Amino acid sequence: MASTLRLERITKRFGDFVAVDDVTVDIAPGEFTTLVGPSGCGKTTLLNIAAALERPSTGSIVIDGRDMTEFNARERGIAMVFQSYALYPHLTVRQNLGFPLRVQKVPKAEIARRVNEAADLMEIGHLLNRKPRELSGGQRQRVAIGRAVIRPSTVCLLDEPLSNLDAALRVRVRAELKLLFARMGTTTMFVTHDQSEAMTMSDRVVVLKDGKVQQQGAPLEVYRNPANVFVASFIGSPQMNLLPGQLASDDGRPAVKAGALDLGLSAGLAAAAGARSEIILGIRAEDIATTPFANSSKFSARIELVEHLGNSAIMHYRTADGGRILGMEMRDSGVGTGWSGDVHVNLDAVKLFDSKTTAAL
Amino acid sequence: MVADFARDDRKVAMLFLLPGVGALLVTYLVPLAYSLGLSFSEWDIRKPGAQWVLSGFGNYTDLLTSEGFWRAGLRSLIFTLAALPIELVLGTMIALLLTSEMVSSKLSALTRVLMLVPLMLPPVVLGILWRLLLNVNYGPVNSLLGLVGLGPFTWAAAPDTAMATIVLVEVIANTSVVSMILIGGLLSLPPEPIRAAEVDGAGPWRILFEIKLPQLASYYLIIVLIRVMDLLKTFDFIYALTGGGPGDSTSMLNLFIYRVGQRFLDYPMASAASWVFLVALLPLSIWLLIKAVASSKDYLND
Amino acid sequence: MTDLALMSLRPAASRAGFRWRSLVGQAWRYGCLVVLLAVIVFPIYWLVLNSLKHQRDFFTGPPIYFTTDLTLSHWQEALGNPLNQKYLLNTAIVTAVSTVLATLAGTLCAYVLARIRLPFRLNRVLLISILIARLFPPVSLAIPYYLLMRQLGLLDTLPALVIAYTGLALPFVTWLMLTFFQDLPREIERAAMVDGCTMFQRFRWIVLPMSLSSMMVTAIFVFMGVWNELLYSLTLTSLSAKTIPVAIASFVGDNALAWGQMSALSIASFVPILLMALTVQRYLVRGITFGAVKG
Repeated sequence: MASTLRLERITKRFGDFVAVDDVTVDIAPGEFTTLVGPSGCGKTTLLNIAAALERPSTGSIVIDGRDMTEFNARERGIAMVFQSYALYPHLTVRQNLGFPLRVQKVPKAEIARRVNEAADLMEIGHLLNRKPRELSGGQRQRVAIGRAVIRPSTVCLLDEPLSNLDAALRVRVRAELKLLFARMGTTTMFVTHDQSEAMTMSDRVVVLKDGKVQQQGAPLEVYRNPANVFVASFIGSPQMNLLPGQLASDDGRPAVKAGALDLGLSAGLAAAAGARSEIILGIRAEDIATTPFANSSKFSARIELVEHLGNSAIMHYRTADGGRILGMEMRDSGVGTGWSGDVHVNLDAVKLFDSKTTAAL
Repeated sequence: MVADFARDDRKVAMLFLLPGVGALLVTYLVPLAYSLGLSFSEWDIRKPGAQWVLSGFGNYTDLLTSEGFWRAGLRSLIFTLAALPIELVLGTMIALLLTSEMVSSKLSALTRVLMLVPLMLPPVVLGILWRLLLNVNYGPVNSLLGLVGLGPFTWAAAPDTAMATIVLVEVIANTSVVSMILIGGLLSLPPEPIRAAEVDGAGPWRILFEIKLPQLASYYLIIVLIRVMDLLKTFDFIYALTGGGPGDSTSMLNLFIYRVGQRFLDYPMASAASWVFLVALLPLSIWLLIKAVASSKDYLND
Repeated sequence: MTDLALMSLRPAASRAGFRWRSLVGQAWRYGCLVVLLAVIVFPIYWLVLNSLKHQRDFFTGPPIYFTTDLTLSHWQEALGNPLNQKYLLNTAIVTAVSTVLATLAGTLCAYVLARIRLPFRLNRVLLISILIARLFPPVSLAIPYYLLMRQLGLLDTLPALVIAYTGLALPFVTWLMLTFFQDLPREIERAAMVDGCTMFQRFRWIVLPMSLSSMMVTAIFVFMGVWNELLYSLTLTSLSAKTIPVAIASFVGDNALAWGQMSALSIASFVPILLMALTVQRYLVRGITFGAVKG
């Protein structure tokens, strides 16, 4: 049975600098949770605290309902994969895999059996007698993961294990890793700065910035309903269009004006906006297109640049007043650079944020 | 920052420190305390069984008013200030020579290995060797110089040439230090700024003085500090080459202290001289310390 | 390559002048190289030649620069002399023991200083003490060592030298190993922590095997320094514990005309050092600059 991990009100200060600020994260048994955020957001510090490599200034680490704050990594039953893989350079792959078991004084025969099991699982059986420096980046990564999964662990921590792989390999390993952890059912905490890894791999993402949790939830939920402007801009590629605008009313109907855009608001959003006059408008690129949506509003613009992605293309629109807006077209939409005309906005997908607190309304 | 966590680590850490710190206390603190006490004492060693008794600042006032001590200090200073600039200039030239694209790389690699030889020569052997080479009557140096009509020189055998001679030997032996460090520095310079300057039409001298050497400033700082400390401490080869003589013409502070202690058996006075020497070295040491500690910030945990 | 590229950029008229200038530059460089090699090689040649010349050939009008009439008698006398054998053995024992002691104790200290945060800012205090000790002129310790060893009855014994040399080498080892440990990636030790290692296990199973070569390099530096050391040996020994540098230096006073033996013994004491220096050539700059330049 997989374990639960609860980081409870963790704060970590280095001198005057607050790296982690009152963070609470709950991870359910077998869940794959990703801590994501820009560098310096405190995600790695949080991971190190979970691994007992660092000590929280305040707060506690609870595993399976038991307070483990005062216990070390072994007692917590933590396994970890490091960003640089941290393979022991003087040991062979076989010895690297067996090392955590050797430390725990597991009998030799048992170590040999489990090393072979892990090697089979990671498909590195043919590499067992090599030293780490004789392996490719991808092979090293497999050994590092093998070393983490070889022992029974409560929680597995992954510190940006994909960041040292080249782009093509990264996408492949991403899927393999997800499958592997789904099959093993280990509770996993994953750290990355790459929102696409967070989106594709996780059951749940925790978005961090400046040591504070910005939002946590299922990846699609976070994508659809970002809690604030930071999450909206950080999650999703291309970035969400974020436009400062004013609330107004068109003949008594609530509307928002942002440059060339003049959008009618649904009753729900209008109620949420309340009496504010300044507002930040958020629209994802896929909700801006040259063809109308079921419930859409339009503005006129010119296509300044097209970024082809193959199956789709990102459109850089320029409005008459000089504003820039990103949209998205499927392949073969037939529009290209220089095109100008009416551009449609999906009114059902419009988000509003408070201009001062930046929180979603 | 590993192991801020495990409190057990602290106990093991103390255990790890024990032998080293213990040895440092025994080999530095104890003798230093002893020598400090001694420097404020009187000890008539001619009386059998006499012990030393504290007597105040007498040794220091005697020392600081003695001409011999000041002259030894002055000689240390002259030796250092003469050898250092020569080593810097020659070392730079040799480093440039051995990294020049105009010299075959095999030959310069061979020279670099051969340069280890004078550097690694035990200082005593160095002294002995140059004793043979510079022998006034039978040495090859005077004989070779005679062929081109120079000399004969008295070298280490006469008081007025002895100091220049040990500076010469010092330079021959230790210029390698300077050039080896600079060769490493020159080879590690990024090639792009040099290429860029070439494209911009800068000549070789301009590239040398405005692109290459300024980038080696930190290397020069380290070289100067290390060389000055070592030059002031030079003892072994001078002992073997001149023994401080003729007369006391090459007797620097080190040899002065050694002579006062071991030859004239005036231990309190030698201790006082040691302490003055230490205090004189202090400003330089502190400078080096600040440099070193600043560069070690990464690997200190506090 | 660059010369060609530059030449093609220049107008044709100055090409000849350019080539001439570069030829002069090259000739000047090779001239300097020859002088440099002569200054390095000739003294060593002279030392070897002196160790093989007949005694009668030393004191001639112009010295004999080359002769095939050589003898091994100086070598036989120098190395066959039981006293010299004893001094060589003394040097080997003292050097080996103090090298091992200093390397072990210094490595342990360096590891703690590099990795563990000690209470009371001890890291900084210890580091600074070690640096000060390293910068010490040995002559200021020679007198108190002599007097203390005399009181302990250790004068003219090998343990006295071992104590002095271990103390001399310890700050060097600690600092140099500290710079090596700094280069070890910390993540590997963190991995070992997560794998359940205590500090002692981490050191024994991970750090020690990974830094063996650095320790070897450091030990070789210490060995070279201690093997050559003159001052302490001069101060602390008189007869039975003498080391080879003192024996060589004493030729100057006692046997000033035995140039052949002097040369032979000098070479004998130099060869082990030279071999060691060649093995650590890559790290030499690091050792000389006390770790300040990684080389």
